[in-house]
Amino acid sequence: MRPGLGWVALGATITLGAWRMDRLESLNIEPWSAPGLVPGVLGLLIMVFGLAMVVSRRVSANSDPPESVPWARLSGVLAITVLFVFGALGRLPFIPAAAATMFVWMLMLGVASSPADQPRLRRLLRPALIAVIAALVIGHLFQDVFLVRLP
Amino acid sequence: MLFTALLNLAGPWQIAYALGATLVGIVIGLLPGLSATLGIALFTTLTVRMQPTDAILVLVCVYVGAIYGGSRTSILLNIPGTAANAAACHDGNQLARQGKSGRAMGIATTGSVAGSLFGVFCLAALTPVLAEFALKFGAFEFFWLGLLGVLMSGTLTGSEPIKGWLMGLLGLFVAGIGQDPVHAYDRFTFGWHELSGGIPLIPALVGAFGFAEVLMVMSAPVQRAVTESIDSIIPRLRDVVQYWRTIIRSGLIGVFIGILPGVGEDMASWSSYAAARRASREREQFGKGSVEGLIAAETGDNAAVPGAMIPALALGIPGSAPAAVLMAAMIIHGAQPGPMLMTTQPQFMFDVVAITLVATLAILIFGLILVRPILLVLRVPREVLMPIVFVLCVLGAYSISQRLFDVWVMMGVGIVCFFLRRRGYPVAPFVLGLVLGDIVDKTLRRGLVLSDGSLLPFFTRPLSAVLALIVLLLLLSQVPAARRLWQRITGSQEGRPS
Repeated sequence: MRPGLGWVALGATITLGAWRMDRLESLNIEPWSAPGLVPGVLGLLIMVFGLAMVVSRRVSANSDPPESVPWARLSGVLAITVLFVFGALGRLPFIPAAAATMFVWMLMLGVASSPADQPRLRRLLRPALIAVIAALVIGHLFQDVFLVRLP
Repeated sequence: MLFTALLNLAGPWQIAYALGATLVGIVIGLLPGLSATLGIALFTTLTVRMQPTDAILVLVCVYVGAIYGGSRTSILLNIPGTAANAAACHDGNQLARQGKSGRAMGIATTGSVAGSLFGVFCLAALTPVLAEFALKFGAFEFFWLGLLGVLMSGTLTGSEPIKGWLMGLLGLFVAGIGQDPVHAYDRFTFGWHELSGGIPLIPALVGAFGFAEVLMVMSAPVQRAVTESIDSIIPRLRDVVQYWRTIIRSGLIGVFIGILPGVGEDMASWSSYAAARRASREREQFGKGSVEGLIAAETGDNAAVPGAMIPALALGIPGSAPAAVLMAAMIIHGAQPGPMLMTTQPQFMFDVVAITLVATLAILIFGLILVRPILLVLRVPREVLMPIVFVLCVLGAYSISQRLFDVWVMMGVGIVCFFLRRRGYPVAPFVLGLVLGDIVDKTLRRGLVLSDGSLLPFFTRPLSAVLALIVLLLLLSQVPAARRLWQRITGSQEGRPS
């Protein structure tokens, strides 16, 4: 039932926000062109479908089986990506930051899949090389070919 | 005009763009986790500064290449490279297990080229006709068309229509954030001036189909590649001649489904497969390595590619999620898809026809000569590929307007879409909602202003009434009580038990 209730809450919030919007009467606009009209209608529809979801979950014997998520791996990926975008981007030069991010990603999450009998140096060098080359290629491709000023 | 368009594509740079973009599209389609929509969204960001015709050439070639490329992994790994190639897994992989992987890929190439050529013919023939017809449409009709696109996408993608509809409505709402298109009033910006311009479309799409997909791939179990020896991939003429009816039927189904707003190549593929199975004299072979089944699936999904461009060009309503991104890119490059296109920019339509034809020839070339080298890409581990895709998503989102805000949007939309997808919510209706939100908003308000607040014209104008009825039937078709009533009615009328 909870997902349906979430949608009902979202729909109610949108509808309330739309209702509270300025109707611009001082500008003598057509009332049917008020800015809050469409969001209000959408909020109501979201509430209706959310309620329908709540009702259908009550009636149906089956509920969504919770899917198992590999939280450790996912948290690692989210941490790396969030750190890169909100921590490094715009503050550090792009190419080294991207290379470091990709290196940490490949190292952290690729270690489990690489053969244990490989020398440690090789296990470090390979992702480092790939990360540096990829960052250089991507950076220069965007900068020199597509004329994008890197962040 | 078509000849002019073809001549414009005969330059060395244009040929290089076509071949390069198709090859990249095939690689994108080949890799599970990357989609045609992501490819088009990323390349839109890369081609922003190119000449419009060259940019559209690159994007269409990536689109056609990606839909075709997904058949490789369907055949070899039983994993569709894109959703459109899922039907090809049934028989393609069975043929590969029988040691006929090369033949299967040759058949897939034949079907793809035939479907694409058929679709190109329909694109050239039907777009002007539909555009002419659409000149009769007003605000009321366009409102229903936009809503129909979102609802149809929600009904036919994913496992539960109600989840698809909610995603569509969410997309319509998110599209409305920012300055209202009629009065320039800030809606749901919470005082944040970056949001006044609205949620940027391409970064949101890169997030929904790029970053979300990266998270999906990284949270899935590792898939081991199956090494197959590949026999001859040259298609046999006998296959084309023997199954010509299947090819034409699948082409028609593919184009028709492509035209339907909001549906897509995956539905076209399955529908063509199911129709071929029903009509086949070798029905028992389907699912066990049927050549006819594989041809039907691949012809259908590739015919839907030009099919989806027909409503995008003629009505400004895309026929699929990748077509939605393509249409957004066309607008960025100065095209005005819609009923007036044939009046104001008729050459553009022929440019798109010529470009799709060139892309079709490119997939034929690569399908025949580059099978083995392309498959090396499958050996790249995801721990290497996904970080690179992520960096491309970041730079791609940044490069449109060179704002960090766009990257934040990409991240935010990606994370939300990832968690929603894990709960079974499809992303395609959300994308359709984002693209169609502006049309739905403006046409609803314009219609109400014209009718002075009356809802009657939305239901009483002939075309509006038909579209409104289709929307109503679409919604009712998912209500159990209405379905039971329908079964009782049809069962009692035909004298058969319901």
